[in-house]
Amino acid sequence: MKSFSDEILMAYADGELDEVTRRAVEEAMHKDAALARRVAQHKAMRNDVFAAFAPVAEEAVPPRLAQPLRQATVVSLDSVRARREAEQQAARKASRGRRWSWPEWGALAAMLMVGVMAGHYGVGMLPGDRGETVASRDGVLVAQGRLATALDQQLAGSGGPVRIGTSFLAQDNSYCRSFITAQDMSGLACKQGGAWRVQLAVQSQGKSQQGEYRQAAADMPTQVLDAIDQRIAGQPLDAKAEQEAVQRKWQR
Amino acid sequence: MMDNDSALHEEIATLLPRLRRFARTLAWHREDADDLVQLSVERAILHSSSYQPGTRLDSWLFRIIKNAWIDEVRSRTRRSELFAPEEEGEHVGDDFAEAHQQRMAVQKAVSLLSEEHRLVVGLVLVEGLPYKEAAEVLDIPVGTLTSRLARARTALQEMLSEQARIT
Repeated sequence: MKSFSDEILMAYADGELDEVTRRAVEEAMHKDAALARRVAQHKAMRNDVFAAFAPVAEEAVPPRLAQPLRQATVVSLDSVRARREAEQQAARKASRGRRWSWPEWGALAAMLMVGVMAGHYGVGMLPGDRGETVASRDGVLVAQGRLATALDQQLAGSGGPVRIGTSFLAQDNSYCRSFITAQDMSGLACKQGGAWRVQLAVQSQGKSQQGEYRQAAADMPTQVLDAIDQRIAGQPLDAKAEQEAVQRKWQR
Repeated sequence: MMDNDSALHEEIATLLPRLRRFARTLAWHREDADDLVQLSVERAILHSSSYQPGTRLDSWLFRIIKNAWIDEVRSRTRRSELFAPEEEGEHVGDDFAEAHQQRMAVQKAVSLLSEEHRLVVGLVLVEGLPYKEAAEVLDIPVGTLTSRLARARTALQEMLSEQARIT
């Protein structure tokens, strides 16, 4: 009689065998009670382990787990950032050479949270801003409405609902501009394919004080400043270069 | 893309009970397991573009949980905290309590397995993934998965019959 390894018997108990082997095992089980017992043991173990953890799936899911899936808001972006910063500090203390690059993660987090927010609030609307600011077009986040107008026309440092921080030419030869909206969302947009593609957006913690003029660039979160550093070719545009770029509609 | 995202989030939400269950096979304490699920859900939201529609969403999420566990949660959980406090043997003879004790004994035995073994047990025996799917989640050949699973079962069997002998 053919003998079967423990792994084959286990696979039989788990329903993983092909037809031919399954039949061979069944035939052998009829003739060999010890073998049948081993199969029964494997089945019992599977049932016991499943039963031991089954009640967990019956428990009410804590709201904190479902919340990020239902309400992707600016607030949760902050909590993600706060958490990341805390972990970043812990990681710095703990070790070098982790598998993950935290700054990249942060930039990605900020970028994608905007995507999530845009999705959550329907047709390209971000919460808080009265006018639409960012929309997803073919999977790319694009500035819209008031933000797009400011990016097109406004000079750096001038006031208004949207403030422009720095304008510069990126290494890929496109123009990029950093911005802060009236709702303290800052980010970086680059003119590509005729649209302002939002490269990154971050919700800042503090609310801006109404009417008080501030140097926009000084308020830029480090994520945005880092994103500028990564892209910039040469120096930021001065006022004259900016004017010219506005006239050329930010096309090279 | 946006509609797909919210549909995906809905699907993930319906899988939360299973994600918690799988996490409990890795981290013993409920709080640790839920932290692991929370972190994994955040990662899943952020990396949702890497999910390929048409593939198993549960497998994709289990892989995220596994990676989150290996990357960070594990390192924050001290080994001694992995183990359950001893259960008191009250109400012996009560059917319900007996079934409860049996479940606790199995949970404890699982928590004493090596990490590799807990992963295969969680994926195959608890979550019911086919060998092939489980092997893909763990990035190992099916043969490796099979032999790990067999060894994990043997180890559980030994621990449980040891426990039965003592009590």
